[in-house]
Amino acid sequence: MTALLIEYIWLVLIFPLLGFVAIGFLHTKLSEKVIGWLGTAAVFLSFLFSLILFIEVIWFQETAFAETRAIYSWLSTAEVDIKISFMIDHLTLVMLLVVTGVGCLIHIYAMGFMGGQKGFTRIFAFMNLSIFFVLLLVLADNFLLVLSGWSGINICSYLLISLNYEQDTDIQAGKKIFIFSRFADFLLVLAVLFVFSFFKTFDFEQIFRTSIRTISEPGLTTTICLLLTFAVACKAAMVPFHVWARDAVIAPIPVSVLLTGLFLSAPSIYLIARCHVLFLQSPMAMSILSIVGLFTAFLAATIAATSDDVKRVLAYAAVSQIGFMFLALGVGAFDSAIFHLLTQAIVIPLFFISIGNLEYSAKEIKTGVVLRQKIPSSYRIFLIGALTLSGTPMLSGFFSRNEILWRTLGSQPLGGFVFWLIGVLISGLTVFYIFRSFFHKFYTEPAPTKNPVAIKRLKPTMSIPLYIFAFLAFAVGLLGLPHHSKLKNFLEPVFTNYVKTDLFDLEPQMLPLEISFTAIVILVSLIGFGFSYLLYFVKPEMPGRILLSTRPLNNFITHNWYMDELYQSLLLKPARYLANISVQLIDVKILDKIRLLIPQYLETLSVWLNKLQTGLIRNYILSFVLSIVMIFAYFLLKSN
Amino acid sequence: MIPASYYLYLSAILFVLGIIGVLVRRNLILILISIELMLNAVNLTFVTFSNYWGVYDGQVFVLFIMVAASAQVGVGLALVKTIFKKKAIVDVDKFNLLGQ
Repeated sequence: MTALLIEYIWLVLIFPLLGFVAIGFLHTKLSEKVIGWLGTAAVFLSFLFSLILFIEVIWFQETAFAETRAIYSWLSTAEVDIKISFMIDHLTLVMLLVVTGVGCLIHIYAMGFMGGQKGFTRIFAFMNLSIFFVLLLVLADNFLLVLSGWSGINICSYLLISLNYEQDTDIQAGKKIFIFSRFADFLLVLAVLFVFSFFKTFDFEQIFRTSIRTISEPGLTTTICLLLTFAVACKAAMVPFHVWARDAVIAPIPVSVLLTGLFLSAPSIYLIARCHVLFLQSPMAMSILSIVGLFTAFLAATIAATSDDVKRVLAYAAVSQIGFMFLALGVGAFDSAIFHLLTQAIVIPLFFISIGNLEYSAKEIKTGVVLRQKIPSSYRIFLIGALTLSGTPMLSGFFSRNEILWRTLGSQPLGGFVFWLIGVLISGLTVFYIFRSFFHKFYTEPAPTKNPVAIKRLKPTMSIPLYIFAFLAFAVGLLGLPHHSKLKNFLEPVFTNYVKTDLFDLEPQMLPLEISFTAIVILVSLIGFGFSYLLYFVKPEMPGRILLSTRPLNNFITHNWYMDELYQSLLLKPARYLANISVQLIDVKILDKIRLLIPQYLETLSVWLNKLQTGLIRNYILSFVLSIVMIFAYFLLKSN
Repeated sequence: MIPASYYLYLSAILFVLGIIGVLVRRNLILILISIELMLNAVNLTFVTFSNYWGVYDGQVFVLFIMVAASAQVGVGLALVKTIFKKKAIVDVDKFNLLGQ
């Protein structure tokens, strides 16, 4: 039997949209509390619905589950029939749960964090809308719907980032993100057009079937895949588009969580996992995907290792982990990428929320032992997050990243090993930077302050999501135990539906090898921890001395590898120059003159025309009669 | 039998007379009467053609036009009366607010 709820799948989408509409229209009549609960309830209902659907599928479904439901015919012509229709398979179900679950927790947190602040209404309206668009993207069964969801996410990121629209930094950050996401849009539109021009349809199902059956030109598939790769790279702040990740954390904490935890990774990773059929036919796109991912993981890790602002460290940690997901996608380990996405969608919010709680309860203190003593919950949760991110055995990050590394190793004989080696180095670096900011935040001696520190009590809405996230950080790992991965079994039908890949048999006889390679990863991680312990706990004066000796390198990294400056000189300066020239030449010399001439001529004309208005009825009638006579005369002469 | 063209000439002459009346007369009431004259010229054309082709659509039209014309005369006279009450004039040339 099929799951009953599948017929009502549009309900998942409707709840957040209704929430957005209700908050948008009624915000003047409702109190802050009602708005908060309304927004949260909208996402929670979606989550509940997805959860019930998920349980139904797990319990009552023996075979792989993949259904499409069309609800509306959007555009129907002889050549193409575009429907608003939703595709629900195992991948979609997992993504639905992640997006609505994490989204719901963030909503609860935002209720506490944003309480009484400006922009409370707007943040809830926009968050609901953005959840709607992500769900639309995840559920879409054709490229046009994906495109709508994708653009919707862009506009929502822009609105959320520039939430404090009175602050100049926020506005600039919003603009930057908007421009970058428009560029991503542009690339995706190109990819979709290529797809349409070749396959003559937008439907995923048909595109994938056709692409396997016909031996398509490899160049075309590669073009499409490369466009898709760069579109999602731009969206997920991969190299060379990583510069905007820094600006994502300017906005209030709930926005940062939503952006870095969900919107950076979920749409991009999902889209590539969905299009895995196309990617598997283009080895070149796959390798570019993994190289981009690996390079980003490294670059973001270096930036995170030199940044002193915890939020910025976390933003780049998120980017670095998305780099790992790209690597996993690139080596064909699609389910590992989804698994890593799942664990990171929990770890990153965990960090941000614990930092947000620190910010909330003790705004004046940036770092110091006081924080550890006075707000132990944040301290402990941050530690759990740090342990998870650095891949401590039995926590979720351990399983997900090691699986990616192991699958990378098995992907190609030589390249795989090089990738693995770099990946392991990055793991060490990850441990280093996360504990660096941990020690920096909680173990430095604070500057002596005169007045006693006021500690605000946390609201329950702020601490409960934190504990849920912390619990999940433990629990989610159990879904993906190596060789007994429930998630992998669940996702396997999706990735073997069209193409039979041998990526899914990990040979059992390789077990000793796998264990020893994992041991190397743990060893490198321990070295990373040792370094940060030595440098930032035992001898806190050491880093300063090291920095002095390696100033150029350090400058290079802290300036985002001078990528901002590169954009400045390559794009902004020529654009400004061009704009200046066109202002002086075209605007002042040509357009302004025309602008001034037109009213002059109009005035003369109107003065002249004014004389016709005598006000005498007989004059009007005369002209009326004369015109009729002339019209008759014309037709009479013409007919002869 | 009188040919149809005679009727048409008559109706054309009546129509032109109506137009001339509208154009040269100054008295509002006479202008209204001239408009009636034009309408009746048109009526005559309708009836002529109706008779000529042997279909009765034209006759029906004439009835409609008569009803419309009487309604229009009612409105027109009411306007003339109002104007006269306000300004004590029936001369259209003195009534050129648009041109001022």
